[in-house]
Amino acid sequence: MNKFPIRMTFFYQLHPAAAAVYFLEVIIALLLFNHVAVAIAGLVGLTMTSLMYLGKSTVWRQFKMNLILFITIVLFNCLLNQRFGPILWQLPLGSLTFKLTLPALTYGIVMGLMLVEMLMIFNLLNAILPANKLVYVFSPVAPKLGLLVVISTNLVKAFVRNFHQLSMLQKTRNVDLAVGSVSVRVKNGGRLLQILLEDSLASGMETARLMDARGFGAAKRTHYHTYRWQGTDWLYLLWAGAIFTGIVAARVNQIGWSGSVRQFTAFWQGGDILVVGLLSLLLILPLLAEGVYRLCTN
Amino acid sequence: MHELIKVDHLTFAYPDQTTPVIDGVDLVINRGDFVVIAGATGSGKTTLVNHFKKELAPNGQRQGKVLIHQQPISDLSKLESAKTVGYVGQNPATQPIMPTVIDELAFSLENVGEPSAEIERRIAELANYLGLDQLLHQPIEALSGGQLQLVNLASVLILRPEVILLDEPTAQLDPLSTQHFFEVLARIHDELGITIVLTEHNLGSVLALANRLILLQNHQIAYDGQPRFGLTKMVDDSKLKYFVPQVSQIFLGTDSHLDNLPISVAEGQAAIRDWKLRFNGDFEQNEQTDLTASILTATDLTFSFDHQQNVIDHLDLDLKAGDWLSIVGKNGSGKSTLLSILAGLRVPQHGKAKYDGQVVWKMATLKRNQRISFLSQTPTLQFGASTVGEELTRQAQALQLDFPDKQVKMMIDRLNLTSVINQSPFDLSGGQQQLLGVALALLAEPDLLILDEPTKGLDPYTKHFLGRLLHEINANGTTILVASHDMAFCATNSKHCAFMFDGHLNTVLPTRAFFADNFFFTTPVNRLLRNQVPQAILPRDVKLVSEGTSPDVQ
Repeated sequence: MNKFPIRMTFFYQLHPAAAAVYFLEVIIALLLFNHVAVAIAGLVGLTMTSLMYLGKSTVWRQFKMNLILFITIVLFNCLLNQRFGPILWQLPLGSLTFKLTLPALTYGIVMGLMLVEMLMIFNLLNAILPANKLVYVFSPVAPKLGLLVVISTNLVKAFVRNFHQLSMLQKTRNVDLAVGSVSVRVKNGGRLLQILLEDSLASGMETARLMDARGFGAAKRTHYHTYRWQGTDWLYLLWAGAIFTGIVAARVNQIGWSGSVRQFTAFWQGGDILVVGLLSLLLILPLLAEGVYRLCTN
Repeated sequence: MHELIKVDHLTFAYPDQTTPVIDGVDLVINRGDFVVIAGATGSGKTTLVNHFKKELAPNGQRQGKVLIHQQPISDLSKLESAKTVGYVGQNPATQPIMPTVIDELAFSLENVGEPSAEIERRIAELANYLGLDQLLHQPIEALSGGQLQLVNLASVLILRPEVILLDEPTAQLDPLSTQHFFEVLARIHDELGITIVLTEHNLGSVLALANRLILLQNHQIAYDGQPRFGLTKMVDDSKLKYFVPQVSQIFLGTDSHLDNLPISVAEGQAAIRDWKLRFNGDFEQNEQTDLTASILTATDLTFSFDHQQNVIDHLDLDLKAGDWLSIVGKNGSGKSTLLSILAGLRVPQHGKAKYDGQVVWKMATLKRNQRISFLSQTPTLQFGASTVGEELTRQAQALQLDFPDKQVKMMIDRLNLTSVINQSPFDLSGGQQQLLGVALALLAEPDLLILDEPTKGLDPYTKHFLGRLLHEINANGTTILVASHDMAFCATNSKHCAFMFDGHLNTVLPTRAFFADNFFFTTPVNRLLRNQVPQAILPRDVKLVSEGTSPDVQ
């Protein structure tokens, strides 16, 4: 799937508050269920949405990183969870016997998938709601905190950028982080950090002076409403809210949820179809909205 | 004229310094003035300008008064100060605080409590006036240096101040961005009547716009008046003569018309027509350089930061031993990236750069530093010690020099750093930091010296001094590779020049041929006298052969 210019998409143009509510609903919905089929549906839905908004290469890069995490979690679950049956395979190791059980494997897969899904949803959130939009959402509640977050984010970005520059340029002073014993590298790293702090402090002071010169702290700050609430924001929220209500109702009725690892013996359990359907709908809601938005093009 | 700012017997000394930076300055700036403050590094320009803004006034011992609208500046409320006096600094990257252009413009108005609807109205109006409307949603880090400085100016202008102070605002911009920035400044002054107070080293670009020149010398005002008369005074001073714009230098060489001294190329061309002046070339036609052996070869270099677009694209270069090659080009054209690759500090995705048969980034760090020196355009990122003396001593030890103490002392003397030897490198002025960076680079007595924007922040005299020093070093066999926005410096000193464009180096040419063939990226002298002496690039390249009579005099 080709990546659309993200700024031109319906999802990106959604009011930040509407998008924030939607992401909150998705995060809660993903955490409400622990059946394999639901987790797989979550992964498929998120992959589709991510492909649309992040592009193939980003999703592929994430997939490679997430796969390692996923395998690690499945492995640890299988290693640490030796109770319950049925046993799929066993290996005697002296006085101990390693047992690979179906509940451990299934539960590991669910846990791994849930963690991967969380990472995927936060990556998507980061693209649709970058720091400035998030701050916009929270500014009316805590304006000073909002500004502080923006400033800190920018400073951290500059700090990281400068660190790369510094470690490159300090090679001209025979300070090379990639050369020498561990103690030499640690010493060099410390030296770089010290220079970086000194330099960042100096430029931070200058930035603060220039903020002051532009009236920072002169009066009670107002807030520029960069985004306007549209009718489509209401519509999107209503749909997402309705689906989310259905999801919560399903969870209240214990659908898609097992209380014990002992119960993780099947990939598909009764009632999962409802949750799979609702969760998939919630996850691909941006895609459906995108389609409607494009259909409405004159 | 209506008095806006009045400086009354201002004397100021920084803490722990006995000599005042400003000594008994009296000055009046009227509403609608366009004032350029010039002077050598350390003459007190920045300190004086910072006194015009309450929040920027430095700490130290102060006597005398600064008044705005007859009111002491210290009595202005923060709100009044923000709405009355705007300030734009030298480094475009230091001022922005918000992630996008629109947020940055809104920041100033949010600070002074403007309602959202008013903020939107002002942004819409200003963005269209300054042509920033296409950039509004761009991330700040995606802007070029020139665009960023315009955004900085806009974020100050949006408060509708009565006066804007600018401290060397184009020091880090390429020539075309500089020209554009000054054009915008002229519009703001002419169309909106806003008072402009500007410190600047490069007088050629800005003096024609100004109605007043203030010259600071020995911590006092040595001249305050019309720019043209100021230039005739500067030319008699051993240091300040280097500040005189090249176009004016051409006419100061003639005997007459000093009361109407041209400053810009357009004024110069008009004067040549009106006064019927004829110039001849006064330079050797065949300035051959005898360079054969290669010291550094680059083949098919390709580098990308984001794996989407190549900053360096299949670039080839054959640098001859003993050459001085200057690379010019716009901000963001990839000059600095190229230099860092050629210095072995960055590894390209494809291609090879070889020094003496070895791939530069594979050479052992010490061995490479002993033979290739590199000065970055941000010298502070190459510093690390607590004093200037310690900085140089550490480098001498790291390079395993034979006589470190003696060589450090020689370098300090050579670069005139004695007075700052015990100061922290991070506390030095931009110009002094640049000189310290050069000193660090020269300690190794390298075969190849790579300098990225070596004249950044230097006043014209120090630039001349640095050019002479590098000339000596080049004459003694060191090959020099420079990236610079400073056309005059490149034209005066280089043996060859090249233009960085679209990821590669446009034809490497002997300096004179390079600038004579260029139309935009060339020297003011070439622009002025292109019709009469096409090969002239510097004031010393021409002499006046016939002087007509001004219609005014007839």
